[in-house]
Amino acid sequence: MNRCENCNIYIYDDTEICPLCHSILADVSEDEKERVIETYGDEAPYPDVTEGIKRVNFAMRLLLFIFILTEVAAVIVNLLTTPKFLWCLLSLVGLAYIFLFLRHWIKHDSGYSAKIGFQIFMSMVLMVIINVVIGKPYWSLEWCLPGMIILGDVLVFIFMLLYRENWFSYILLLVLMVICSVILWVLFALGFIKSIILLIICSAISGVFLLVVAIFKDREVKRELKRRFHV
Amino acid sequence: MKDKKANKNNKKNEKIKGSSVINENIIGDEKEIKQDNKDKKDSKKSGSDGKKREPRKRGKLSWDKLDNTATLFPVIATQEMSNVYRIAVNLNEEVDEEILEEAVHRVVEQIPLFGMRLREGVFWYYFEENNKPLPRVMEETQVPGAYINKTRNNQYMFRVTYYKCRINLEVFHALTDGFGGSIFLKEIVYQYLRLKHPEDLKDEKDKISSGIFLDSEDSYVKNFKKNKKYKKYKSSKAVTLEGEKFVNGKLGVMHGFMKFSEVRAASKKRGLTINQYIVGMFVYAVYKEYLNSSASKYPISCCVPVNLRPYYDSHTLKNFFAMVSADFQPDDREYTCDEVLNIVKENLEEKITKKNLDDILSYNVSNEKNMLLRIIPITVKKFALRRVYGASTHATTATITNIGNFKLKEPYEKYVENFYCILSMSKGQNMKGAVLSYNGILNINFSSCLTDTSIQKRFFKLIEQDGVEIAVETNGVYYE
Repeated sequence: MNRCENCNIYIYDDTEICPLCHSILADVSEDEKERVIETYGDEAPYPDVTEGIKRVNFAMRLLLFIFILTEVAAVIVNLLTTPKFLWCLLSLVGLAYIFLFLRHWIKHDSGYSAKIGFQIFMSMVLMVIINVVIGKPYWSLEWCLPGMIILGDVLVFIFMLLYRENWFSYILLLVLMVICSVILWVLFALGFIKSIILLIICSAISGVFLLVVAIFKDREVKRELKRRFHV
Repeated sequence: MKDKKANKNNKKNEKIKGSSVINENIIGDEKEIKQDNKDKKDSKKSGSDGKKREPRKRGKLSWDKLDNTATLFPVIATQEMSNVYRIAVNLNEEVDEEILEEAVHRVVEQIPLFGMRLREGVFWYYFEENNKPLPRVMEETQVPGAYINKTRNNQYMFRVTYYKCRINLEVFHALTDGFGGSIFLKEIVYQYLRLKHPEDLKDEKDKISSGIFLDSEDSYVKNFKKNKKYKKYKSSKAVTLEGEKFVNGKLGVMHGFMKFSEVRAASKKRGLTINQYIVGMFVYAVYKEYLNSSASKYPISCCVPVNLRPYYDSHTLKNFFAMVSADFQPDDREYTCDEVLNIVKENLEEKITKKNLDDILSYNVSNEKNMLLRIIPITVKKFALRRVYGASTHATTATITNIGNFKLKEPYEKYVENFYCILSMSKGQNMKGAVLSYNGILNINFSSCLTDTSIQKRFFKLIEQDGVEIAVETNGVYYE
């Protein structure tokens, strides 16, 4: 402990400089120090916590740097080799997706069900974008989207088993899968989807899954929906 | 192994629930903790979490709506604007991690609000009973008031850390305000000390203090009166304290300790309450140091949260406060300290009245009562709330809160040296202050993301010139 003669205050910190006026501090006698501690209490120092912050920031920045370098390299190679087909756009979308995916999982603090739902939705969007860049036929609608819905159902099932105490938290995700299936049927009716096999499988899985839960666990489902839909 | 541990915890919880258990059992409990510590070391090796909370019947988890103010916090909370506050206590001895963890576990079991997690519904957020294990009590590794990542915190909305003799409780504001946080921290301290000093405190009952209300009503809604003249929060621009900021999310913390009696005498001499005196001095310090005593296009607006409980006879543990502001817009002439203090006094006296607080409360709740707004999906609400909040962020220069006098029960007092309160930064507010007192010592805590300390320097100098002796402590970032 020292004393700032300019500010006329005692400074607990282990320093020679006043944090307020930056003047050099004066020593305090042992008696005076004892009196101040007895009056105001002893010092309560803080740990140095900057290293942890630096590490996380550095990792994300390093990743961003590597991705930008990779994409720049991809653009150059693309333009030099196959300038008529811009596959570098695909790598750009892919890298952006991976970066945002990691950022979302590391930084965002929503629950697993929200994260899974968001990632499935984003993966669907990614597939559609890639498909649009490459052009017809709409393989993303016919195969990837139903595939993602089946994957979503499987993940919901696994998570319901893993977190049995909170299995009902995933009901909304299940409802989302059914809604996605309905949307695919609309696209089928509009003629965007030709092959019906995977569409039937994903709709059946989602529908039956939701039906089983709604019939055999009706009370829990009601409670969960009441919570989720409270106005 | 897991089952064994769960059984043991259940037995322990049964003990807690049998509230007539007195401290004779604590000595036995301490042995149990030692055994638990052994288990915990094993679990640490395997990287698992702390103790599992008492299992509930599946699907029967209790839930609750958020209070009126809490609705905003989850929407606007980010890494940079965490909406987390810290209340800390400095003991006379080094903190024992295992005992502290056990104390937290026991207190959470008895104060259900802190055992909740935040969930997102289709229209609103809501609280749901959290049956995940409590997060580990760990040594402090983050800046005060750092964002609480709920996924990494097992969805709990509070965090307990320690460093040397200090116990830190950090709470996400959606859960409760300083009133609720201080009750929770005091109970943790009591429980910790009972476990740490079973012989000394053998006459103390091993349960949370009698007289504590576990009421978690939404007092905003309960006290809402339909009013045609709603008092809207102002959104006109105020002076924003700008300057060089700390990098890497660092936060400057400065505690000023002074005798309560000296501050009271100084404020009385100027015909002010302690609150008016502190807020007034801060506004004057901003005027002198930031505006250099010159005229300003915008007012210096210092926000003061008012605890509404005494005005509405509420004992809720949830948030129940309203914001009023002390505004001072300097013109061309130079103002003296007394003039500024009087302007602040008049401002606060005019705004902290039952009538005005009624109007603020009615305005806050009126939107929530609107059926059309209620049925808007939460995604749209979030977007709109962020825009509305963003537009009002520059309406405040700083916030100064007084969380009051901390009083501990007599047998525990000798173990506790001091209390602290630290507020995290908000958008547009680069400096905040929190005031509290304990054992005759007033502690004014400034948190700031600005490297410059001239406002704090002027503030403490003004008070010192009024005959108040001051001792200052910082978190060390001002020397880096």
